[in-house]
Amino acid sequence: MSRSVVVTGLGVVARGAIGLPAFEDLLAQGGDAPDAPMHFDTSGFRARRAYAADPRDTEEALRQAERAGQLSGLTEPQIVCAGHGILAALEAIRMAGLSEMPRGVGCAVATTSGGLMDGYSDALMAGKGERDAPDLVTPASAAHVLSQVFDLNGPLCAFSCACVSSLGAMSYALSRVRNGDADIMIVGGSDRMRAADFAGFNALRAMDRETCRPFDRTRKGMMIGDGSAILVIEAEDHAKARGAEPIVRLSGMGLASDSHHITSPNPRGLTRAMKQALQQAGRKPSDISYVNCHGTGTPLNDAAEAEALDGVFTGKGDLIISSTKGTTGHLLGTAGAIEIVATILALKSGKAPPMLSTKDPEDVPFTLSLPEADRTLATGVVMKNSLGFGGLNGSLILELPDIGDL
Amino acid sequence: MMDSIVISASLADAASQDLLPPDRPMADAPFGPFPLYYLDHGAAEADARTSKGRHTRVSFRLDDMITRLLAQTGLSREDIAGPGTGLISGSCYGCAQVFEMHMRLRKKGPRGVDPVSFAQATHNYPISAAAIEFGIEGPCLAAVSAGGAGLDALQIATDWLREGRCERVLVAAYEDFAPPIADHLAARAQTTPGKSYGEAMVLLLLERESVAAARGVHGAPELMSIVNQNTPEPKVGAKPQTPFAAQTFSPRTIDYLGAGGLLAVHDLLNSPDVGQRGSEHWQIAAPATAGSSVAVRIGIRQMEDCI
Repeated sequence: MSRSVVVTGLGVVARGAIGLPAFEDLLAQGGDAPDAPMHFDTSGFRARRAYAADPRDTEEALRQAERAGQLSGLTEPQIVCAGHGILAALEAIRMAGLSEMPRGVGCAVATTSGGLMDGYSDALMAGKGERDAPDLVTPASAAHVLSQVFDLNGPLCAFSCACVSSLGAMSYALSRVRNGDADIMIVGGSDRMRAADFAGFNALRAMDRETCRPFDRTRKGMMIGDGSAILVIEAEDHAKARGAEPIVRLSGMGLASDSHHITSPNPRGLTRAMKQALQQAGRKPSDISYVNCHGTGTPLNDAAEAEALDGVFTGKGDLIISSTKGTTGHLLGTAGAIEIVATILALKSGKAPPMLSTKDPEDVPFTLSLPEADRTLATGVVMKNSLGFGGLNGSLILELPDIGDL
Repeated sequence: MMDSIVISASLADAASQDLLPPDRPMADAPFGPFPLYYLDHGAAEADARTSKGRHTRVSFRLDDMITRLLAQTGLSREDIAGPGTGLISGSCYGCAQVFEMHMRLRKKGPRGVDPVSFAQATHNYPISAAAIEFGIEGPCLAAVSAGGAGLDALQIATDWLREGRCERVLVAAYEDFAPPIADHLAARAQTTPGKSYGEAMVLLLLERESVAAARGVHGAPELMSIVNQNTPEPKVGAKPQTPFAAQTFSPRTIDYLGAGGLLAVHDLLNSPDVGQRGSEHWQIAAPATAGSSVAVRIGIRQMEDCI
């Protein structure tokens, strides 16, 4: 059994952007300059800025949803643990028209570290013993919160495999729907920035102190972000039967490791993942008009990624590539999910998002999605790539639902 | 016709009462101050002193178990190198380094976090380190879905084989009780009399039947089906939902959390009771843990009388 899978709902929370309209505006305008996150002190670090969502905005939006009768009984620990994810899932589920949640809807959630173990550790070090939400300390806690809040009782799984986590979750969700284990899966990522992760990237000297400039000659590193992106994916026949409109089709997924180094990517893994995705989708490289890259803005990543792309899209100079991390920041485990949403928005609008922070573009054999470039997509078939610590790679192919053969 | 999937090897390291000193209580006795069972980490600690901390104790044990599995199966390092082999891990709590890093940051400030320890502080570090060590270039992921994590990993491995992403997958499940996970679990055990948790690592080799047969392996148990069902915890005021019926094979009394389901598979495959009646169909449910109500079912049958 292998069913066609489509997206029927999207939801997003990013810095300064709750909901799709605000997110579209963020991608188009670039948003405010990065700033220190609200919920921990970065003054002792070399780099001090981030693209953090304001947790107060998220909590207020959730309380507003409670007042409107869309949610009920959210606890403070649930909001701290998975508030961004609850908000994004609420938007996605409403867009998908799931006013009553059917039985058997599954949930696959990506996370960087997950859960409230840091809070537990703080309480332990302060001699306060167990926290008031001991069930929410595991990495899977956000997935469990979403399943509880939205009554999801189908397959449930959580992934934490560095920056490829979201594509791992998407791969799992795709398999569940394709195989008939579930008609609908709620899938994506949810992350609240951790001081420890900030400290780690600071120690690696992988963060730019000013801003993130993917594929820029002067790029110096990444800018951490947080938030959530959740998608409702569904068997196409199931969506049509209930009158839901497919937004895009998910046609191919590739996964591969490069077996090279813990923090330094090698292009061969991503090349293999892209080829696997193309094969599964039944597409040729020439069918792809846009690639949303991992594009962290670190010298190593962007160079390796451009080399990997050249291994698949050789001579295809009109291929538009971009990274949206210059606008959203790097959401780590959730990065793939929010970038899938950005990719879907590009596919729907027919135009790639501009790389507003890239002022001195790197010489790559493709068309960088710079503000002044023609960013019009030539076909309705696009690709989203993610790379993770430890040489993990994922590639996803998305198509307009009515694209057919090219 | 789709190639069958077989479990051609399994290994398990599981902390148990057998490893306790004689003065400690047995597993079926009240545990009092001994709610946690630990694996022997002596070899990992010795390695850490000589290899400049390249390994965490989880990544050390995974490398060691892969080496032992190769010896058990007759496969070489070259056989598993390349894109034909995938690697997946499942764990409830994942790698303690992820949380230890936060504690070091709190105690020492930014200087408490160094690049090496940060690189090790991802839940995929054990599989990534093993992929690099053994040249594994197929899909690699880390599932962290509470009590069902090990069986989730088994299901994902099955997906990869059925979708043609690779021809064999190493499936690992583990739990490791370093601080603060150990403190958390000890506190949890105190609230449930008789409850005890154990560290474990389990490693299974899943292969397409034709791949196993090509190197002379016949009659390995076939993995027939896996179902992942999740019954959400009841909301306040609601009645608890009855878990779905599943014949459970779980002979151990210690809770191995995310490793428990895969450990039950290992125990089943190594049980003298299995395969005595020819073709059999077994079901295994992942042990329930507080905070997790994920349950998974799988079917396994002995193939000896089918070949």
